Amino acid sequence: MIPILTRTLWQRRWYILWWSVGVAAYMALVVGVYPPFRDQAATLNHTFSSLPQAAKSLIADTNNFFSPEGYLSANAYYLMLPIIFGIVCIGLGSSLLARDEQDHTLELLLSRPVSRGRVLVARALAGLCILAVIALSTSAATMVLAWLVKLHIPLAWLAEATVMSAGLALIFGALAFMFTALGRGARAASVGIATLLLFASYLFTSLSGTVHWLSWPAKLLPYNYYHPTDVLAGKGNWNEAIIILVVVILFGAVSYIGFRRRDIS
Amino acid sequence: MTQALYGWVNLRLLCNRLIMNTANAMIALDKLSKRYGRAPQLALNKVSLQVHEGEVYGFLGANGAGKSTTIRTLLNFIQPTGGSATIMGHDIVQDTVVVKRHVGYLAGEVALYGNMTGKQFLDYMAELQPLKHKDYAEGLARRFDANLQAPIKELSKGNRQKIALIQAFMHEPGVLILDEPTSGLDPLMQEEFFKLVNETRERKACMFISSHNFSEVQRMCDRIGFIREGKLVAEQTLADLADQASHTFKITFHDAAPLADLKKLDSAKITAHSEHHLTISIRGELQPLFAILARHRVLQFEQQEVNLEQQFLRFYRKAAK
Repeated sequence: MIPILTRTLWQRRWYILWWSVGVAAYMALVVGVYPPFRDQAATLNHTFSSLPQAAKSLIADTNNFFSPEGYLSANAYYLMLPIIFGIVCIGLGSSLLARDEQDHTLELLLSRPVSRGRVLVARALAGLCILAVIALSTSAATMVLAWLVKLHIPLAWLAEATVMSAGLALIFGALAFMFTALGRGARAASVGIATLLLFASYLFTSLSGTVHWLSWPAKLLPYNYYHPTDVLAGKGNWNEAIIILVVVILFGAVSYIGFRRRDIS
Repeated sequence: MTQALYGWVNLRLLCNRLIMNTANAMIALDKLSKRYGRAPQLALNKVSLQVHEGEVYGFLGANGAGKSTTIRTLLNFIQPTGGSATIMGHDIVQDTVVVKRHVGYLAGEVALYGNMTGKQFLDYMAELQPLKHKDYAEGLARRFDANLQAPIKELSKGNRQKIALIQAFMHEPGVLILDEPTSGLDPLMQEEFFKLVNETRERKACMFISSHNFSEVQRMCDRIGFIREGKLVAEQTLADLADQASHTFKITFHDAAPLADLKKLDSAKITAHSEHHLTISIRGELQPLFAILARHRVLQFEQQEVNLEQQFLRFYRKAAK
């Protein structure tokens, strides 16, 4: 299992590097330009207060967009970071097994004395490692810039928010991974369905305060359990983190069971 | 009473022989079947066969006949719908990891990791399945003159095939399952491959080779199975095939060729002729042919090799009827 894990990470080394640099640069930019907004926070908040609630709820899970946590939530943690991490996770989930199957190199691995379960676990662990490295570089860039611009949020809360954001995206990646583990030629479908769920989840949850009939289906969607502003304010709810973790484990278990007995194309 | 006892003893002997055969088989398929999804027809229809220690088994069939399905089922890439199979006594589904400790596999369409060099790729495969003798793998790379330094994606088809062959043989497996092994190899490398097959046979490994190349099969294999529409339609040793095949002779006469006499021969067919030459194919007893030739002055008499391709077509036509 270890050789499969290490070779997968080695094969994706440039992917890891560029995504880490790219996301860290984005976060550095967002945090780096905060001081001018902080200086005009009262005026800007007053201007934004006239926006309809539906529009505000699409931007962030708070009405105070220019407090330190509100600013980070509106510009990164509520929408952009989950989308960026979502692209990473869905890309990985849909390719870690499926690309090998499509290229017929999966047969090479399975012709060796390695069980399908081990191949699947090694690839899933590789995906987790890649996400962890990208999340770590994101956290590091955010923390350094937050310290430089004196953005008063404890570093642990920043790290926690990044982990929650990566965890949320992991659900969509795990879903894509599950589709490719269960079905032959499901790569395209896995990307489509996971992406659809990511955006539907965001829209349903954001608009559920305004469009009331959305509130019930929103409870079934992952975004409902994601409140980055609370996390950044030190009021994170561990139960929400556990729900996200349970869903990821569930998708992983279904992938494991399904992949062990299905035909390889 | 004596006759009944004799019959019972014979039956016991036959059963024991069958059991022994199965027990000695390194590859044993028992009514192995495969249906893809809801397809009306079985892709593999109750195929039973055995391959023994030190035996090279050729598996012949047209495109879509079920050759690859058989191989992919044996390697547990796809699940059998019915029947069972064992490799070195281990069930291909339940003990698939154990089975693969003993198997070397070469895919029909070679797919390797393009971004790796040949060396990186072989090292990776060796990490997953440790080598018995590292120098054996190095020796294989030398004898096939494989380029292990360049990225695989930059190699020609033939050079990729060499690397694929090395990964199949390098851990010295007891069973080799090879799909079109010489595809893309130049004649020199093909010759090297035939030598490798013979050496592997000598160390008592068995080989299951699927191929379209009749001369290659004829050269390597001890026994041949013909598969058609998922069914094993015939299974013969190469010696049996030679016995059953029509013998073809090219004959040159001093005088005019005795066409009229030769046409009267049963099971004979004159496929080409000129005034002094003819080519005749004859099945069964050759004595009547020699009796006619004895009455004429023959300048040259040349026998052509058994034509496996003709036999293949004969089996296919017979099965189609």
